[in-house]
Amino acid sequence: MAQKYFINLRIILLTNNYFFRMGNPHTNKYQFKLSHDVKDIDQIEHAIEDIRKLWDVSDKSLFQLNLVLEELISNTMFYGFDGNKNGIIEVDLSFDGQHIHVSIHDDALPFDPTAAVDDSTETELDERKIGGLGIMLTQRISEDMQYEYHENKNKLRFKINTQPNVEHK
Amino acid sequence: MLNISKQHIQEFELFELGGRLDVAHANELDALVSDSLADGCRNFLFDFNSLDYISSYGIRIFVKLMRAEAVVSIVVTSDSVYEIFEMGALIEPLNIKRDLIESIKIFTQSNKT
Repeated sequence: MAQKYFINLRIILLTNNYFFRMGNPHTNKYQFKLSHDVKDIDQIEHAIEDIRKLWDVSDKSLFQLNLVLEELISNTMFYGFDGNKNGIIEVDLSFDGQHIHVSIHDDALPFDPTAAVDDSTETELDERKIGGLGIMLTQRISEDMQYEYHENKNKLRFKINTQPNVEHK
Repeated sequence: MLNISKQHIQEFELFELGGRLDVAHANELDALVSDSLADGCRNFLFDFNSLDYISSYGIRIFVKLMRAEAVVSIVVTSDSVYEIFEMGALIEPLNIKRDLIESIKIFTQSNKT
């Protein structure tokens, strides 16, 4: 078990900055950081593969976690930093046996993903719907999404139900 | 990683995809699809048999094709991928099918009309 822990404790050197991914199977917690640079986006895929080894979570739930993280973090990277070359995005994950709890903090421009998007189920592919597709998918997959902008930071929290057909005890 | 195999069949251009169609790789497929459109291709069949993951960056490519008045059909075997198209209410507009034969019918039917 100790060996498994240390395998998942990794220090990664990226573009002269230290970022990390750290998972602990005893506490079911996992953290990683990304820079503002879209080249860091593959950190999400690496995190998902680490979690696959650490937690007893279905492939479907990991797919949904991957999608939600990609949509939110790529959106921040593309539109959130506006010339700030030192942007940081911090992701904290934990698993309680049913829900994956997600917390994302960044120092990007204020952006509230809980704000309404076109959530219609009409089949027309209008511009508004496709532009907001990533955020709409995020809203449909996640539960209890809460946003605040505090001390120049976006702070987003939500959870993903890994067993939607099982009642939580 | 995204694996793409492209071949021309009589009625359509067939793209077999494997791996991940995400923000890091969507531009690879987009470039190939744009080339086919520029060459005059209007029927596109995508086989997701080996595709593990897709995000909105991949889905936008298929929507772009529809806006260019191309006929699109996609074979989706993965339940997780299928569910994403369901959430986006895109099953009908993008002719999402669960098997290859049903997808091919889209083009044989469109040729008859």
